[in-house]
Amino acid sequence: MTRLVLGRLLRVVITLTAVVLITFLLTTVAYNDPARLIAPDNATEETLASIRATFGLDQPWWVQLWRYAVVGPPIQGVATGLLNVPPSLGYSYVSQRPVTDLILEKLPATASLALGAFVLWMLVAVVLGVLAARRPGGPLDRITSVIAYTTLSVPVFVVAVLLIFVLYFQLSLAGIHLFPSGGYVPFSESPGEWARHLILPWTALVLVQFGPFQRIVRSSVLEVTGKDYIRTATAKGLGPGRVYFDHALSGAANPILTLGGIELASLMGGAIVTEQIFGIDGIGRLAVRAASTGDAPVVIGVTLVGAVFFVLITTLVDLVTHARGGR
Amino acid sequence: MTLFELSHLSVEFPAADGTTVPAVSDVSLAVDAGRTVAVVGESGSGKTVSLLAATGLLDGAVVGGSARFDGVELNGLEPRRRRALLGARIGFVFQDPASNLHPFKRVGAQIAEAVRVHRRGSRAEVAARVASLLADVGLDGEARIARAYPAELSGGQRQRIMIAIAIANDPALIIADEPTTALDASVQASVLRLFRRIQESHGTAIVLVSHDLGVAGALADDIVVVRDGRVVESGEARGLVSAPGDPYTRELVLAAQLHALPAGGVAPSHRRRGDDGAPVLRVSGLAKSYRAGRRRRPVVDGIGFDVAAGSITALVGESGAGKSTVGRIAAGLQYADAGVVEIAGVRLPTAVADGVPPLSPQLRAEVQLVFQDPYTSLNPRKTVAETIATARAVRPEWGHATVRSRVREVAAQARLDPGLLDRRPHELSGGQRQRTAIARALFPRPRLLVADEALSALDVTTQRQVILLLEELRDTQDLAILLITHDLGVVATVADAVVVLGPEGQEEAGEVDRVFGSPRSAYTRLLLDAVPRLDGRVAG
Repeated sequence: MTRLVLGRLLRVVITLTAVVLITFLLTTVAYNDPARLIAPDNATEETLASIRATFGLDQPWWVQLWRYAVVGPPIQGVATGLLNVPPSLGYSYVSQRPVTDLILEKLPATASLALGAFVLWMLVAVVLGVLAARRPGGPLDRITSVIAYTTLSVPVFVVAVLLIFVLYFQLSLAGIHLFPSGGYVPFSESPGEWARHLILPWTALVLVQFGPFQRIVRSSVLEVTGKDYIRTATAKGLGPGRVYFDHALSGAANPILTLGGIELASLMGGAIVTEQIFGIDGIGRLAVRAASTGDAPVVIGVTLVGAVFFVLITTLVDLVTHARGGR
Repeated sequence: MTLFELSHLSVEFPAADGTTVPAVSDVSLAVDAGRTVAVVGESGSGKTVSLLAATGLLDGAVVGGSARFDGVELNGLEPRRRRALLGARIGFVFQDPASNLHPFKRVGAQIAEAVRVHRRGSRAEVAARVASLLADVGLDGEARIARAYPAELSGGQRQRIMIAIAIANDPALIIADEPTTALDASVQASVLRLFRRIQESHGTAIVLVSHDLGVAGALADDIVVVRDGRVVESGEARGLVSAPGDPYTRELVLAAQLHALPAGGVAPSHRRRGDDGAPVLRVSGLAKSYRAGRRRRPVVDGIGFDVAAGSITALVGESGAGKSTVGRIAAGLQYADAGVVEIAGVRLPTAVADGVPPLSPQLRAEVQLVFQDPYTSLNPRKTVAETIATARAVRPEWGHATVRSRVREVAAQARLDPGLLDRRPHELSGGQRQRTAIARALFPRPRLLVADEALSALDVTTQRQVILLLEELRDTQDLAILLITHDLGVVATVADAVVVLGPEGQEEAGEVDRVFGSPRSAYTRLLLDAVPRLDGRVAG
């Protein structure tokens, strides 16, 4: 177990290093003069040159990378690099604020969206997947299969816009104001409003994501229903509910956990389209804004945070599936 | 009083094209409370299917006839009432405990669940019940066992856990489907003893499903012989074994005798010549280790024995003792780390390495192998004749005509019908496949044949024919045969000498009548005690 943990940690470090390196190089290539972002519009060449000198933007890329990772931006005269504790992700060129603060501000909205949608679609997918596996080829299996492939082939923005059209626009016209059209209310302010604002985006994500997942649950469960230990469960006198939702699901859980972890991890990096459509000010929107303005430190920071979530969640799933025993 | 009764039970499976495939056509049996009935037959005879279908454990099976338990008709019983019987009044033990226990649940929790399904109780009461069940099956005193996952336990421990689950609610009937087949011989005997102890203390009736008349005879009061989905003979166990009426039962008795030790002791070696010539295979001080992580773990060490021309030497031991490793080294398919291995006077290279040692074609021709499973060891795309001629590469001097006549010659020696030479493996029976494998091995005129568990994948009746064939080849072709097996009954029947491998290495070696008659090692005695005897119940 210790060996496994150490090995995984080493992989995490290597992955994250690679992510920093690649995004750093890409942003240096894509955005060739951040000095203009920082300077006022009418700045002279001298001003630009002095900004470049202050931020080290005139240095070769490896020196810049070194400063980013170890020294940190020299704005307040304190070392604040990535490798410090707590790590600093630099300063936004555009808003002149620490990237770490920007991301921490947006994290609750993205996490609420991602975790809520994840819990909902896992529940839906697992229940429908196990029920479909009980009678493969039966009515429920066929219906869920059609729904799964239909929703899978409709892009999330279509689903989202349709949801807004029907459940917000049409209902509002009829004088019923069940759901807001968008926005985000922090949980700490009002749990009720928080949920009310998130229901439509959650539904959009669940509709798009549960289909393939339900098929995976179905096939994983189907794979174990012929196993001897399922017959043992029946021979103990257990009812079909326990046999399927406990014994079969637990036997089939490893692939489901692994794929679920990957899906959750990629959502934690920001659900870009969904956040845009529902006006949720999360990490996804932050990333889009930064990428379109050329705000390189924010782009690197958001990518890195997404990568950290990804490796942490997938590593956690690996350790959990390992700790579950079996083989 | 009859507790459990099948009368004219039939089972059919729906096929894809709408018709049904019959699996069982007419099986009847009756078990009285506290008694044991064995249902015996070969694989595919329908013995397991009958009992699973009767108790509703076969999804999709169409069951006809009647199955009554304690006055209740099981066929057509509503699921809720059937569930109240399963696990409570009828307990089950299945063949392979490795696949029948849930891999992701701790075994203690699996036993506790069996208790909780049928009775309410506090956490402490259930825990106490689990502890007493573990004690009942001889697993007490080890607190770690309840917290272990099945993969962390040995085969015998796992089967004891299965038995604890089966008796969790003091059932009136236990249905045990090949409960010892997946276990090593010494474990097999102790599990059979456990069944008997449970029966004596709880008055439980047992239906034992087995392919082995030896196991059935050791435990059962009555025996029902099933073939092709019908009962061919049934009766009181002792009478049926000593005077079988049906020819098929006689066949099963002969097969069981093969696996049992002869009542009057092993006859002295029938080797025609032995010590007169140099041995074909000479092994001494053989050692082999495998890489396990960064270190190497020894598999075998200090192995030494000879195999003479015209004799069969058996290499016995339980699974994991390194028998197959020795066989592969003797066949020149693996390096030995150290020691001397000589085939026909030529010493094989030794090295601490993996891979196949380079041997000359002449030497390759001297030793040939027959593998365990003829269903996987034959190339499905090749005809029997092509398979047999595979080894022509080691006889480059043989022309086409020689190869063709040699194929016919060895096919005849292996008692393989010439009409089968153009067939492919899927058109052959298990016995015909293993004869093909033997003919293939005989093709290059080897002087040594290594047969690695060459019988264990075959049906009991086929096993006997293959054994007779090996005996015949030893006598007529003057072959030296190294027979790797876990079956001491087979050794007693056919081998001239025996080498016993234990967990600590080579226990002893010598003539079979000497080793079996007066074993010097405690381990050999343990193995011998575990062999079922046809003429009585299990020892102890």
